[in-house]
Amino acid sequence: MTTLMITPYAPYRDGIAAYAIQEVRRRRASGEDLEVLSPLPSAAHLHLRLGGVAGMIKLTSIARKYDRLVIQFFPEMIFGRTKTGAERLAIWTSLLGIVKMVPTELRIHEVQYQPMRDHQSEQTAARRVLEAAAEVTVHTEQERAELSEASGFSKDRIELLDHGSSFAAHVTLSKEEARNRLGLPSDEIVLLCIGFLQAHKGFDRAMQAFLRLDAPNASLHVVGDVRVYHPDLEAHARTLASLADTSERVHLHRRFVGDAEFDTWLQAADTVVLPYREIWSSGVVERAKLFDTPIIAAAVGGLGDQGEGITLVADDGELLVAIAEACGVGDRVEIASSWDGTLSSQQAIQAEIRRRARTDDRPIEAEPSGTQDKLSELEVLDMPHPISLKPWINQTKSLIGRATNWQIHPLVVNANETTTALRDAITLLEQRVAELEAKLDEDEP
Amino acid sequence: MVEARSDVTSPGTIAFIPPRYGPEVVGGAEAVVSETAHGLAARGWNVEVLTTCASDHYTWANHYPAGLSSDGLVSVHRFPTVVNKPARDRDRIGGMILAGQDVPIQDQQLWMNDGLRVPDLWHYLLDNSHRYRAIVVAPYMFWTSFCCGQVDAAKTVVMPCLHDEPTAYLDLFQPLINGAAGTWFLAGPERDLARRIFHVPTNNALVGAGVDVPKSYEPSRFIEEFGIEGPFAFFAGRREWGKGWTDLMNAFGFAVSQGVDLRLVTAGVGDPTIPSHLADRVIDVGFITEEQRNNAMAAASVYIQPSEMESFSRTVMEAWLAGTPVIANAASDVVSWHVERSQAGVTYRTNTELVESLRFVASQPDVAAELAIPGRQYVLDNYAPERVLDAMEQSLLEWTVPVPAEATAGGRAQ
Repeated sequence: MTTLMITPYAPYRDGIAAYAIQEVRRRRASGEDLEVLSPLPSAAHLHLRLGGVAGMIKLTSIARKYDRLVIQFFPEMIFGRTKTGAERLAIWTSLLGIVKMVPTELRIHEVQYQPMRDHQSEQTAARRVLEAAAEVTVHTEQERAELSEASGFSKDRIELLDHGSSFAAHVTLSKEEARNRLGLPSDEIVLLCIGFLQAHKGFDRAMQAFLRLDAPNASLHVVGDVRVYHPDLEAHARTLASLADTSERVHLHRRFVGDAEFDTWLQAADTVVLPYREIWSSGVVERAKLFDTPIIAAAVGGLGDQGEGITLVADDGELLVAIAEACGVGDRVEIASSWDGTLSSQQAIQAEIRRRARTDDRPIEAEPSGTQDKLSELEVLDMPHPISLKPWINQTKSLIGRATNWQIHPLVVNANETTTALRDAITLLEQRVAELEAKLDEDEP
Repeated sequence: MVEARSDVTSPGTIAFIPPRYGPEVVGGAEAVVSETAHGLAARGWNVEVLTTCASDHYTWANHYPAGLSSDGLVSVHRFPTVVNKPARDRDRIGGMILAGQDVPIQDQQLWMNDGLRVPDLWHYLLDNSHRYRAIVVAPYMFWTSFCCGQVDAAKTVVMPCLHDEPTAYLDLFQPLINGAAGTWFLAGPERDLARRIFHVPTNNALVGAGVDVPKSYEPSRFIEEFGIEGPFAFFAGRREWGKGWTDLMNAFGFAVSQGVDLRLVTAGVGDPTIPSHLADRVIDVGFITEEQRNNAMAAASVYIQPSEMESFSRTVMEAWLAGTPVIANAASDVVSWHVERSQAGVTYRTNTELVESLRFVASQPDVAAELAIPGRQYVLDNYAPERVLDAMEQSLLEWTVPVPAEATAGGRAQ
């Protein structure tokens, strides 16, 4: 029996890809005849451009050659290039044909439930597909409840699958060896935020909290890079960099991290801090468990369902306390007391607010200016793709694309780079103006 | 070639993963891999080469049959290549990389995957990496190294064969080097460069590359065989732009116009482009055997290394072993490093310097031959195969752990 798994795959650095590789390895090691199809050319046996109707139709003809399918189902891969509800419905319909034809496991990841809640037609189409699937699996109780509620699909038919069931450590190092490799001191308490640099990961929250502590024997390391180039992600990375600049104990290691280095960090750390603003379930939690590294995580999504040994925090206050305790200075966290009414001027109140928050001399966030706001609203340009349900329109657009893309592409690249450069220049300019204004204020008698 | 050592039990199984392997394959990294594979096999390691069916690195066409074969003591597993055509993304993004543009990471990944891929090799390694004590990948920039080098990084040794070129600076390659169990460097400047670009693991060694010492030379045989008249400069290698071929033709043409009385003999795979006005001064002998190459090295008045992109430069060592001086492109940090350390040659920074270097060899052949004398000892002292293998084996034993017998079972056949 031959199984086909449809998933992003190595060597792309992507959470689902890393997850899928480990499952493929485990299943093939157990003797299963398993092949892989990925949406981009990769180490997979096959590749097919998914995300649109045409790809899903082609998948139908490929799928029929296999005895079983496993689809790592997440919206970007399935619906990534669609623009209209009609296209989404066409994809659901094609998918229904596939799951009826070949026994299929739908492994649900990071699904946006809102379209199902907002549109009856989407909900019905999704439910039909789920009902026709041989198996529907998720990683957390939270996801199971949400999927069932949004789609109307019976919760009893949604199976819970341990997120880390296929995970294996990529390194076998002691903590001391791991620290040696990374050049970290052996006698310091090391806190770690690791993963792609994205606002929803909340690494800035951990940095803010850590910066409020007097923990001279501890350091916080934020490790990772943006997953793809995008002005918003770059802006967030700059925020993290500016926070890291304010203390010698906070470090941003902005680089593309491979599996081995990822695990080396997890082994080297005393505590992993995951203050996510939103998440479905976390692969980092499962990897940290492989090394018995304690975890502080925000109580969002399904993180609470990912087993014991996680210190869940509800808000920034709890995060501060948890981080302080991990740094061995839990007793030094100031308990907020009520105000005694001795302050009345705006400046004094403002200063007290900042003193209490311990943000008086530290940047909260690299706030974009109004001009930068406008720039950030500019979308990253992409090459136009033929989008239509009518094949002849697609073909015509493809032909036009082939004839003109060589001219358009440099313009697209140029426009994107110009936007970034402009934003950087404005940031620099605003900084210098602020410095000059501050200097003028000082010089004034 | 080193004789098999029978008095030791095998320290383990090691996989070498070059993009190409075989007698027709001309390339420095591939030669080092082959030499090391055979050397370690002779020392009792179980050595497997996992490679492609290709022999041509332009087309990556499947030339050898897929499957298992043996090359002396070395087992060779070949896997079919898959090549995207027309590889528009690779061409487009490759142009951006060469132009030094800031290429987003998603485009870097697309560039890597929109060309040669070997999914069966990758899955073979995924299924079988537990059997190997060590996995050696080289050189860094090919899909085989990039992808396979990260399947089981904890036991992977990367021999990057790094040059100072735009691709080396891509974020894409950071995990390959930074996450490896160890790194072998062929020359000091290569390691310096790597340290500037990567967070090189503490497990790294300057091992060099082993160069076999020919038992004897018959220079007259080469001269007779190919009908070479008069003194000549020699170049052996890939006759392509990236290896300095075009510059060499331009510079040699200039030298000829300046009255330098030397011929240029070249050797390598494929048909090189030789300007018509140099047709009677540049003699290309095509692909030659190892013995013919050694004889040519000995017969030449000088060996020219025009390439800037060298991570070791085996042919320079072969010239010195044969007692022949070297004229090298000073833009190659590695070859300049060898020349500075050995004092057995000169480097040039401009075409005029090359012309004068050639004029020196043509007019003072005895002094030039004398210049070459310390070169042989330099190679023997630093790159004798046994010495290099000692360093490699020592690092493998230090950086990797033996695989328990029970763990070598399982896996999947090709």
